[in-house]
Amino acid sequence: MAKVFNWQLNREVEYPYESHKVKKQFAVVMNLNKCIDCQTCTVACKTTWTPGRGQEYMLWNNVETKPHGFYPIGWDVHLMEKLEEQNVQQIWENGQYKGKTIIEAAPEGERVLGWMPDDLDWINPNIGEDETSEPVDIGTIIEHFPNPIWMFYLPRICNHCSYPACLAACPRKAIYKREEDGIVLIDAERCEGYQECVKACPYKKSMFNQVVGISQKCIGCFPKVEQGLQPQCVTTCIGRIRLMGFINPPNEVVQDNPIDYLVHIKKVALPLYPQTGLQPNVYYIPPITVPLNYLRQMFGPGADHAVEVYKRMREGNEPELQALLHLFGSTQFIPHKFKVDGNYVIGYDEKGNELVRVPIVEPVQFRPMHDERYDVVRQDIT
Amino acid sequence: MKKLKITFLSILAVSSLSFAEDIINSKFVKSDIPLDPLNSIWKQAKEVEISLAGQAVTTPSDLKPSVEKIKVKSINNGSEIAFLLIWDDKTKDVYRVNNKFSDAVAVQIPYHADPSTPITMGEPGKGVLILHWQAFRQENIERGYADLPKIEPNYAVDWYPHAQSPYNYPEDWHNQYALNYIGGEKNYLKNTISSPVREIVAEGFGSTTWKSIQSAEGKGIYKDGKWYVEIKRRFFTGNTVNPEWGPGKVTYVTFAVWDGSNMERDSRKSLGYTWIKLNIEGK
Amino acid sequence: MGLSRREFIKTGSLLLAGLSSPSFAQRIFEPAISVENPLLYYPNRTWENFYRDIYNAESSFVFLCNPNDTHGCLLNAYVKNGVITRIEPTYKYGLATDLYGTKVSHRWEPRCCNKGLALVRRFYGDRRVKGPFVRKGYYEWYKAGFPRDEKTGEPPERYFQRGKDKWLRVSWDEVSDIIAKSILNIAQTYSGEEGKRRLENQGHYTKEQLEVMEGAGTRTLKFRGSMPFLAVLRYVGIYRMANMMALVDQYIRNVPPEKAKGGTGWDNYSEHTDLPPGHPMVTGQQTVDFDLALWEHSKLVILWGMNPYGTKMPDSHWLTEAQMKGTKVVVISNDFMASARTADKVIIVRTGTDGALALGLSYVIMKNKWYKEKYVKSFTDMPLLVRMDNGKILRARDIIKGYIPKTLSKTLVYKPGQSLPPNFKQDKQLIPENIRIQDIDDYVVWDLKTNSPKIITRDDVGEDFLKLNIDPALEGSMKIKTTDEKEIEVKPLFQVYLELLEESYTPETVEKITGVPAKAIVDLAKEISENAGNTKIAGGMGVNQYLHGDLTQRAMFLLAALTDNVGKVSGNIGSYAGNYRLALFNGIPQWNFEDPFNIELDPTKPAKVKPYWRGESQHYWADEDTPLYVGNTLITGKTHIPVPTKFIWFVNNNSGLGNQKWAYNVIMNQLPKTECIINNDWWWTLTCEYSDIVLGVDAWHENRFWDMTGSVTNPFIHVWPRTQHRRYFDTKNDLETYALVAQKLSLLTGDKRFYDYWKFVFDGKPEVYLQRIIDASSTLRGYKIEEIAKKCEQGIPSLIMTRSYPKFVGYEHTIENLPWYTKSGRLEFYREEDEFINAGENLPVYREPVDATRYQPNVIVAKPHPLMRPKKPIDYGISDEEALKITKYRQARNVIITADELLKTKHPLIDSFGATHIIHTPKFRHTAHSATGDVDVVALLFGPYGDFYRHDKRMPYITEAYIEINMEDLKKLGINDGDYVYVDADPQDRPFIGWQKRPEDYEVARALVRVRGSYSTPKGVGKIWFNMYGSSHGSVKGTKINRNGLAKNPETGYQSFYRRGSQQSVTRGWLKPTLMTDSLVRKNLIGRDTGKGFMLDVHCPVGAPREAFGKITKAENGGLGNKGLWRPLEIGLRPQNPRESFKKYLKAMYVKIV
Repeated sequence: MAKVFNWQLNREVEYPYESHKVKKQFAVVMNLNKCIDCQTCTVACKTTWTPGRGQEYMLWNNVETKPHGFYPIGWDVHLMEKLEEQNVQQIWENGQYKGKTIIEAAPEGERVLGWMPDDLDWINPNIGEDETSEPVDIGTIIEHFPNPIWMFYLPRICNHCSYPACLAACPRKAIYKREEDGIVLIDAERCEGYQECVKACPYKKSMFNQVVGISQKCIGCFPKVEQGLQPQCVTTCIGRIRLMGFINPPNEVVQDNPIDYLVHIKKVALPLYPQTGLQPNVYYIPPITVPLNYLRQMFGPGADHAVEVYKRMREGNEPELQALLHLFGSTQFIPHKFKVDGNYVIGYDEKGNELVRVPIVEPVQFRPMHDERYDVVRQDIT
Repeated sequence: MKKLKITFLSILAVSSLSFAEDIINSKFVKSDIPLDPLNSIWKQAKEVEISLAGQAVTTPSDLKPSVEKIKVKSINNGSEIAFLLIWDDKTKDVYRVNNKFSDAVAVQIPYHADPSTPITMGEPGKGVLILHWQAFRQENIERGYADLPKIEPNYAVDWYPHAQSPYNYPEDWHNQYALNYIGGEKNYLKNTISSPVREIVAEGFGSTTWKSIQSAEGKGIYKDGKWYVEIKRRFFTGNTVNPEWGPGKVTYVTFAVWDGSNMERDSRKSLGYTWIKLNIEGK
Repeated sequence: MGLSRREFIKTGSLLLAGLSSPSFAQRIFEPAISVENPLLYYPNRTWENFYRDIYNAESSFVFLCNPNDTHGCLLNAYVKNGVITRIEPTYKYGLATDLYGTKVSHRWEPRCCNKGLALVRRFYGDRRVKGPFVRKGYYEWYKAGFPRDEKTGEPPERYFQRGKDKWLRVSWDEVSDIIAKSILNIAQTYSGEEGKRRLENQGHYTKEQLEVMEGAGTRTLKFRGSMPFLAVLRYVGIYRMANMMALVDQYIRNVPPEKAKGGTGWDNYSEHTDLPPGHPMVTGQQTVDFDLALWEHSKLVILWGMNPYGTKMPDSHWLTEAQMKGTKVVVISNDFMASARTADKVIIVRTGTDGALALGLSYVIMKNKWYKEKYVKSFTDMPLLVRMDNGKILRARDIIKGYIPKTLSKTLVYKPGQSLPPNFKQDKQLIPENIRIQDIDDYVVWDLKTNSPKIITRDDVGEDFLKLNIDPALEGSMKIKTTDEKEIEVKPLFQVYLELLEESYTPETVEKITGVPAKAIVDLAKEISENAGNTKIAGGMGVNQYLHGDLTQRAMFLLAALTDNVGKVSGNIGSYAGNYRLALFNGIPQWNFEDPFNIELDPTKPAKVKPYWRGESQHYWADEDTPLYVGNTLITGKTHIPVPTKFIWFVNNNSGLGNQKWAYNVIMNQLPKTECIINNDWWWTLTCEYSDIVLGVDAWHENRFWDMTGSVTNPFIHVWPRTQHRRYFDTKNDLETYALVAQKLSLLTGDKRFYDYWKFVFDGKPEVYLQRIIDASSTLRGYKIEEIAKKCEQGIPSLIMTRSYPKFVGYEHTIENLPWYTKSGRLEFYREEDEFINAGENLPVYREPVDATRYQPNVIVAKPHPLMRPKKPIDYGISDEEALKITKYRQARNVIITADELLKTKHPLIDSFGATHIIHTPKFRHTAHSATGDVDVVALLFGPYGDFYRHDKRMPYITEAYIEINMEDLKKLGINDGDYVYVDADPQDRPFIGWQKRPEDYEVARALVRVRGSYSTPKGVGKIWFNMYGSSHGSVKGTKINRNGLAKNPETGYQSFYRRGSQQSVTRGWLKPTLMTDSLVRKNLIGRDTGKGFMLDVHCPVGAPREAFGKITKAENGGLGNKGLWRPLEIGLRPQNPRESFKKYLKAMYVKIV
């Protein structure tokens, strides 16, 4: 076992392979305060990548309603159960994770502490949709954050982890991490369909094609990323909750890199179940309506700060953050840098060329009633 | 560290079980060798029982193997060699689907008739040939491919791009546009080989690779809680590297068995930890 | 018929060779490759090209996705190997502009949704209608020469086995002949005295219905394109067809043009129950709303029964982005719906009581004087004096003998026959002289400065009223002498409202009615008044779709008006349902009203306009094809009377039949009275299942002609691009279907004008008609169709040229001091017309839902007030008992009881039927109406039961319908989460009248669904999503004979989401009396002219599809194959029985932070 540094846990963790710094690391930030569960991302991904035989049930991107929704069913409850079975205490001590990761807690003869979903676990992919945590009744009033009665939408793709469990678990080493962008792929030609990655991935984002006999997973839309475009689930996100870019390690933060700014500088975007130890690279801005203990369980100890900052922003005290969040969805290209300019936020590509410039408040413009030039009376009620 | 110790012990344990003087004598027969594990021709060959143990050298390992011995016979007719492999298995597992695995058995032969070849699937320069019979392949060949109508009979799907209606795999997926989504041409070819036995070469764990020329044949019959599997191959097939073996030669073999319902696949298997001498009659 | 799976995909060039081929050697490598550290380096990555190949398309083109969801998105279709493999947004909305250089931003990106991206599955799906089809029986009737019964004219029943019959594929030539001959035959049959006699002998229709036909059989021909605004040539074209029927009438009855009658045009906005009928009552015009992009300009947004996350998805980001900037969002709803998820405040209200809540809020604001006095006095009816003797609003003529109304400067009062400016040049409202004099006159306020009455006109609104230097009294009671020397008491309406509210709708009383705590009502009232002029109230179907939606809207308007929240950028009120506002293209008469006797064939000249078709509400057809009689009294107003329905031509229309309110009563009891039903569609819907002729038209990506649409929630106008993509089937553009029939009519009648009426379609230049509409539309004039079309074909829309970007209603009034379209020119909360007084609704009162309540339905909940004088059942010649129990009569039962009394009452079905649950049917994110939802990848996520592999064969499709109820109710009913249940409503008329004697039809019509126990729904409420395709005779047959058990019609391929019945099994038709008046003064649908009584889509019935009170009975176990519990419940991952670890997870006890 090698020792690799996991900044999310703020300590070294065990991993079967020596760590290696990729040139760029694919990362996505998702603002859960804006997700409307429209499932457009899911359908975009499905129609683009998984319309093939044996892929019917596969949702490389899915959106589930927390706390009663899962795909596959109970995936994160299973994660908690497994860690408990291995007597792992999920304890964070001033920012450092003291418990074992799913690699460190692997049972004898195993590489990863995993579990294998049954065929029936993959059905009902939208179970729990819109279901609240507690009962409502006539006369129920919900008016304080965090809400006593709550639910939120959790969109999920492959986390393209820095220390992927799927990669660690594959006995054929048919899973690799692309040096140029850190995207994790399963070599479709060398995969023998052992389903070790399916079992190992705690996020259950590796799926088995029962007809062809290979495992398949989210490819981070690398053919788009190679062309400077954000992935399908990002460019079709009508909630405008997603931004894809490249994240740097905490010690190499770039101030005007949108991802670094949100994850490292403002610390409003957090990894999903960081205690897995895989250093996942999808970062979530937690929903401010949800009780903090649940958010801590899911996003780690940074939850309090993230919620705090987001609330402050709503009160107008984080203008730069507020501006940056308006860049989400405004361009299909990957914004490497951003700048705020009065009522506008601007995104730039890798070479520094302007990609897009959008207002933080859309200006209202009026037209005259009488238009001689076109000999017409413009009207609202027609 | 802990894992290593277990591995070491288990190897000792296993070695002590199997006797150095174990020899498989490949009986010479004049006739063609029928592809039938229950054929009377097998009466001519002597049966050797070989102890197996769960794979514990590498992870993932098999700490609770369900098969602990296998009975082996071999015959040859000068050009072809065949093995008959018999073991107990409570369940017949012939599907490879979500969370379900197929029964299988494999014969491993070093390319050089050299017992120093690591039994753990060889090493660079000391490759091994593996003849791998898998129940699901035989099922596909004999009873039709395990496509959705077989494994998910009530499915309903509106459309598949590029494939031909009614979209049955493999026959309606014969084009590159359709195959791009599902692993390309190579997987298509792997799934359509006409034999339940695949030939793979390896130079160490995780390196198993399909041979470009596939010529081994096989036939398995599940009867009264036992698998009877025959694996047959010509000593020498063209356009490819063959082991140093043949009539009158001596080489080494070892065996591995997978019990699907015990979640056995890949390195989760029962195997023999020592090379068994294979004495091939004839000249 | 040929609906079996067929593919039109070119096989990929490479056909793989067998194993023996040398290519295999190249593709499977040898010797072994081994990888050291896959984190570091991977040897061979050529396989990655699979995905690059998938992504790199061969070509792409832009098409328009435009279901009735008010959005409309230009989308990029990517073509590979000759098929569209994926769809993406264009990212070019930020480039949209207008003739004034108005700029919009890229914050509009991306424009798309889950349904639009899934269209690729629909384009190639097996339910495409692949050409023209005729039902076998109908074909035989046509071949036999339309034989009929001598006496009644009715066709023999054997030809009319709709829903059970076979289908024949015919040629376009033959199908147009069938339609043309059907039109002539049916019109002939019911024309003149002979026709009238036949209808009388059929013994179903009332005398008024036969009178309004004026002898013209063409009136029995009904036409409906849905929704017209979505494609003005294709969907409005069918109304042009209706106008053309005047030629048929002339041919049959040989009457001169001025006597000729066209067909009947059916409504859409009101038919869908999308029209908020209270808006015309308060504002005099169709609806007030605002583009959703304006959300971020307000400090407070109230989502009142509106669920944008489910129905306004591409615009929802404007709301969440407003929240990022501090805007507070309040959700008022009868359950915890999606949009409540991010709300700052959520208020769960008892179903259908929103009106009472709005009145309670208004009371708090009035009582505490938190209202905006200036706005109230200058823009509302609250200072106007009302007569306490007759309940009419005081007029100048009441107190001044021989009073002559003042001349108006803001309104053009015209005499009969006077020529009027075209719509695009109307800078004033137009009011006919008789309405000006009889209905309007001038109004009276009490001036506090002089302590005397003062006359004001409808010009005197806003700043112009304040200039009069009158300080009108809002409170108090005055004595005033009328011209006949009587001294009468008058009061300002404000005073009357205050009295009513103080007596009947204090927070304490409203708490009893709505369940909302009094304190919460006071808090919210305070919050709204603190954000006066800065609050947006967005209502929607959630408050509209009850019988008394109009009262609810009147109360919500009162609240908005009190707080100066009408017609401003920062404050407004809106109702959101359906893309209704065809009027935004107010040059449309150029198209649907062109005079067929005087056709303009010069493409450069405008058409000559003459309306021949008659508007009518389709609700009457759905409600037994008769007007509403209660006892011996005709309640329906004369301007509304429906004509018998014998022929229907639907276009793009599942709502008209398949998803009709009371659908199963229509299917089982109404259809037999109708002789021909045609439906144009490109997807086999439930309406197709019960049609006689189905015309397969081009799908959206195959659109051949430019067409035009706009939106009520965004500022864009779209031209439907002309695609070069090939037609996959033998389909036609809708326009061609009309033209072909017209051509046949020319042949059959020898009248060339039928053909000429569609000349530019035959010429392949229908854009001539579009340019005519553009030139005559105030919002479009100046655009050239070629230019805006070319942009759209690149993915760039243009902006609609109303007075502002983004657009909103009310600017011209609130900011520019124009009067509203009401009689007084002010927002009117009081309705003085007799129909309202008779219904007890002259004051803005609260009424219980007519069915969706556990208390006595439809009662007026209030204490008596001197101005409340409703008619009693006895006045209609029926007993109070009958009026309560017979649903049809109940709608006109006007009984007043107090809130305290109400709580002691019961819905009669509780005792007679054991009803336990209000059942409402809202709309959801997974589909727009029934369209676009039923493709596999969308359906998979529609609800909790998605499973591509249908492990449970009972599933009708890969998902299925369910009723959601509260977890405690589950327990009470002894039902488990995931079980199958029957859902039954009032047995006297649901699912259809006479079900008791028709077991086979009942099996089709009775709703069988899964039950989901959830925390999000209050006790006593059941929710079934509206949008799933319902059962047909064929789909039910399918569940029995299909090997995999699919609820798919083996004959047609129609796919139901229900094993039995549908959400419409529990609904019925409703005809609310105050929506059928002859006296309401309102703007016409299109243009600024004013009229009275019925107006299509403005003042007519809207139905009440969410009104149902029923019971839920267990049918089967939820476990696979009816064994045991539904698996997720079994394994302890449902709230009904969470396993230990799930409980611990929910309490978040796994992680410790120290």
